[in-house]
Amino acid sequence: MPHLPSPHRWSLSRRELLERVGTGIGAVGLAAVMNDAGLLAGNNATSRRSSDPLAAKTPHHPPRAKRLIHLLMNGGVSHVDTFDYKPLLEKYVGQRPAAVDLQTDRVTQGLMPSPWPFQRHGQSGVWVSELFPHVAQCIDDICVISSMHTNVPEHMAGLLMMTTGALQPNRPSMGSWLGYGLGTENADLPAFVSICHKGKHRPGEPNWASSFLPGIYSGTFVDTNSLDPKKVIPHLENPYLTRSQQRRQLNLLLKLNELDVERAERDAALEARIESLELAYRMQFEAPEAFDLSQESQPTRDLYGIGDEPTFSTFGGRAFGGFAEGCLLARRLSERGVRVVQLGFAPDVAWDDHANILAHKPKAKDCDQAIAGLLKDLKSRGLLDETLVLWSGEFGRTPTIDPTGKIAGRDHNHYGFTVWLAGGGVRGGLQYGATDEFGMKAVTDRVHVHDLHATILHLMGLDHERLTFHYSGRDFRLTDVSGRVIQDIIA
Amino acid sequence: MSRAKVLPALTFLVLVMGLLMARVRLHAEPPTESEQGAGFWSFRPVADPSVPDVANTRWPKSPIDHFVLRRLEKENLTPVEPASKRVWVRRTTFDLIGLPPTPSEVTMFLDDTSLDAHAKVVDRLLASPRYGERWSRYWLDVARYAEEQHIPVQNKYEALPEAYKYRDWVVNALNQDLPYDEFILQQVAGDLVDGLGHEGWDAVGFFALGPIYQTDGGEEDDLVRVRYDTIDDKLDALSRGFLGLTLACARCHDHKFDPISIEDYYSLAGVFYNTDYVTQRWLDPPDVVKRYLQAQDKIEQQTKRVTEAKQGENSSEKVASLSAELEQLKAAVPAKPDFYAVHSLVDIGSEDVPVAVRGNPLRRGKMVPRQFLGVLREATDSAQRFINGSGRLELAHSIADRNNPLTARVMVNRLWQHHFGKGLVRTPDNFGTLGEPPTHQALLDWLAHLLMEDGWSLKRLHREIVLSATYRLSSRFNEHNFKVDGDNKWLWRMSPRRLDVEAWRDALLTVTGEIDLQLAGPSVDDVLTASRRTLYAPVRRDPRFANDKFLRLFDFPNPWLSNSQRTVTTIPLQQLFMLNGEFVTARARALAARLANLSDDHIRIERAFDLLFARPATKEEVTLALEFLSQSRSDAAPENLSLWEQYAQVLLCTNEFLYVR
Repeated sequence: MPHLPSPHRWSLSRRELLERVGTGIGAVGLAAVMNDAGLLAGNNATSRRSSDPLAAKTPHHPPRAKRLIHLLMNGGVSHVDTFDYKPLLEKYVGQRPAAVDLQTDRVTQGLMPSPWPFQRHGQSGVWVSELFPHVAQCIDDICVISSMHTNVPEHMAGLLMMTTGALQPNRPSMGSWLGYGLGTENADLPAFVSICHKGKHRPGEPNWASSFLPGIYSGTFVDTNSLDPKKVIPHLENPYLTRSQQRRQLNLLLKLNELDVERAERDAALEARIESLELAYRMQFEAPEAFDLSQESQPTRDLYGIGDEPTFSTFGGRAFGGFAEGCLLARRLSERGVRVVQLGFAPDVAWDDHANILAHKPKAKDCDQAIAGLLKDLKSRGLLDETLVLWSGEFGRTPTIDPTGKIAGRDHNHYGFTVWLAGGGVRGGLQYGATDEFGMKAVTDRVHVHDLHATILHLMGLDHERLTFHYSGRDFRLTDVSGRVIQDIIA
Repeated sequence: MSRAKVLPALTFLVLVMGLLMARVRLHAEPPTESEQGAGFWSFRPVADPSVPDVANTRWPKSPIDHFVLRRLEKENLTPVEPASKRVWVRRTTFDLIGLPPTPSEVTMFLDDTSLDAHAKVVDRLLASPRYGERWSRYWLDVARYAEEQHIPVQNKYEALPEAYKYRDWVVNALNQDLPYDEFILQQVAGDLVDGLGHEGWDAVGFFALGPIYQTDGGEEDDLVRVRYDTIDDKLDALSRGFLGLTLACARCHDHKFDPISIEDYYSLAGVFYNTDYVTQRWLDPPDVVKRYLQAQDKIEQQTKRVTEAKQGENSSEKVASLSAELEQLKAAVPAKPDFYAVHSLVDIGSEDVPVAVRGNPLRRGKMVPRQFLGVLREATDSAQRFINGSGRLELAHSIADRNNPLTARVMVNRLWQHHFGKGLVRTPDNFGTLGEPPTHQALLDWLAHLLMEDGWSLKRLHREIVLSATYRLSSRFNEHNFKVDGDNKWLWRMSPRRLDVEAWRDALLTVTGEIDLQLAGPSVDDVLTASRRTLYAPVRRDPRFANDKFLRLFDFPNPWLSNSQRTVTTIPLQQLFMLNGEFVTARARALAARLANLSDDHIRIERAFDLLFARPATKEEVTLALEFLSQSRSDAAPENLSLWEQYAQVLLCTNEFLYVR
């Protein structure tokens, strides 16, 4: 059940808010501003309910999706081995036909067909390789974008472009922008949670940082290695006092703060802190439940494949796994109103198979059922319509062989790659755009990451050109100075 | 609601929206041509404005107050009453040294009825070494100071073990009241100035400690790109830190709003292109160092010969003889000359660089000479090109030039901001077209002029500001003033401010009697368990430890970027830290223990209020405390957290403790 937002005041003054929301603010966005300014009916200047920074805000236009789950396949999944079928690779195996420019930043060899067969799936007949049999069952709910491109073939810059819309690690993440633009439906939980298992997806904190947006919009990072909710949110539990003892202590504190306000100065920040204390108190009792996977039934756990032996391991033989638990946690948080969940597949750059593309197999096996489980679970709960699921890496891989390995792998390719969206107002069973015959470059209906971001914001009710923040002398946007909504993929 | 009623309501809404939007637009509208360029207010010379007349001549205590009151009178606002002596001494002590006043300091000030009682307090505080510790931290934010490099692309960390020497240099420079033009000169080019000794090497830590961007590929092209990323960081910190300009906007194209061209950018990029980062400086005379380095060089070459001989088809005798020679060389090598470990800079060349077309250094545009920013060249009398080494020293002189219209204005604004919460220019690192115009331009100029006239002394500027009637205002609310100027732009009261994490943690440790005031030296391991001032917390670019998470939780800025103004957030995770975290609980125990020796609860309560709030408790507060402390319910206090400890925690978590008025 989505919770009602809890009131507490925020320290941005009205003027600051007006300035920071920036130019071109539209009529609907203004409702939020006016609400903050106490101009709408039912509010008066002294109400503490007027400006909770995390309270659900009115979007620019009616949203198709209320929440986002980003499944981040960090490291760069090979598109020609998963969702971008290129039969011509068989014909030209080992060759570099002059008709297509196969040049990347580094030297690669001849073309290499995918080791995995492709088949058409669902009513729509979209091609999916053997690597993702469970996801293939959901293909009619999925919109595959085959014509992605990005700026550089480097992991950090590529990941940052995908998660923050910028190449250097100092911009607000997409989750922070969405929190800033929309608030949360449950102020007892963070608006934006980032999840990974036994480490952080590269480059770590910048993936969920709020940067110059107020700190309240930064993501809360959760390592599913320690699913104990009391460890997930620091200091969630009072080690000494019972609930009633805490209540008495808090009452005294609130009383002293109240006397202080009466005695002296009205100030938004002072009142904000009073509300924040109350919220913190409540969070202690609300959050543990949200993170408690043990409340899920066995059939649900089976649906995600929880408990299956993980197959992907790194050089040290250290099994990762944990992705299925992450997917289930993503659903629990999402259905409780957490606006954005970002789920890293595994630490560092897990999908980076330069030396041997066959290493994609165990990784796919570790996430295929969990991803499909998430989509099916959301659907059966009636949540898929209002939950947008994004599956993406930072770039794709070359159709040619990377000569660095003894067995054939593939190099980074930012000229063409695939992402997919599901739920939340996108057209399922659609393959949008295309790369060239070999999957090298996006050629038809090209989609830049900025365009993807613009589309996601649009689906969530925000105009990417109007969601701005005034900082250091200019108005910043998630999409910088570009971005175009891909209308054709919207249902 | 009937249709007839809905329509007027909608009309009203649209009207209000229109007004609001007009206001927003007014602020964000790019300026017209005539307002841009060298004619823009911040590029015009610093004026020496005359002190304006005011109607209420009894109120001002400083020329500052004339400028402020003039505006208040114009806006039909009346300043609120002055703060009580107790409030003023607490505010001033926090502002100047970042610690609360001790009860005896408060008493002494209250008992001092002389006319210069306030001035005595200010002079005492400015003479305290705690002053440099407090104010260095504001500058370290600007310098994006960190003690560890994080290189995400390679997933690794590099310690900067000597970083503290730069931090200590800043503390010392402020405590010595190093003139601000010198302060700039040494940080930009201290290594190139004769006679500074290690201080000159320490001072350029401003640049040497900045983030270093690296690549995960190692390809030639990538290396060039990240080299320019690293230079970009330096130009960004330099331009925003010293000049209040966003030079980095001109990396790919001419600045869209300010008179900064892409050529300007690469003129200054060239300076840092010819500058390298080093981790040691020799202390022995050059000939001694030279002998040592030559000997090392010989060993290296001989080692190569031995290796080659071993791999080639050579007799064992030949190899043995070469090896013997190597041993001789090794035996004869002079002792390593004395050196000083430091993160510092050296000049490595004197060449110009080309413009990078659209910011891509692989696309070489026209060569540009190293020289100062075009819009400032004439004014600062530095029209000539930079030709000595990298040109850093010449650049430093251009920045610190008295005729540079930005340098003094930017710095006085920083001081004002940290005393009042907001600067006279509310965008402290953007004095360009997209920054905010000053609320009191004449005052800003008067202060900038004073700074330069007074030998660039920052301490004298502090003194002038905190002894003004404006600074002495209480933070009392006033309905009429609030309606006219809710944002307190015209300074009709002092805005309450939350202590930053440094002052808050230091205050906690001070009132509990735990603080360790050791000055300078390497940082502590973990600020959550140490008792030195928060200034000595280790600062990392990746907040991966509890120490770092604690600082960030309370709005410590991200040291990847120069930061001039911290965001103040109020979030529940902070309150959880205070109510449930071991750090605050431990302080509560220490405070309760400190008070335990006193004879009864009433006296303890009074003492606590003296220590924490610099005032006596009210009757009601005493009653509330006694009620809380005398709870007789069996479940009132667990074994391990007494009622007194719980009460101490409440006091430490009050707004009054967390805010200065």
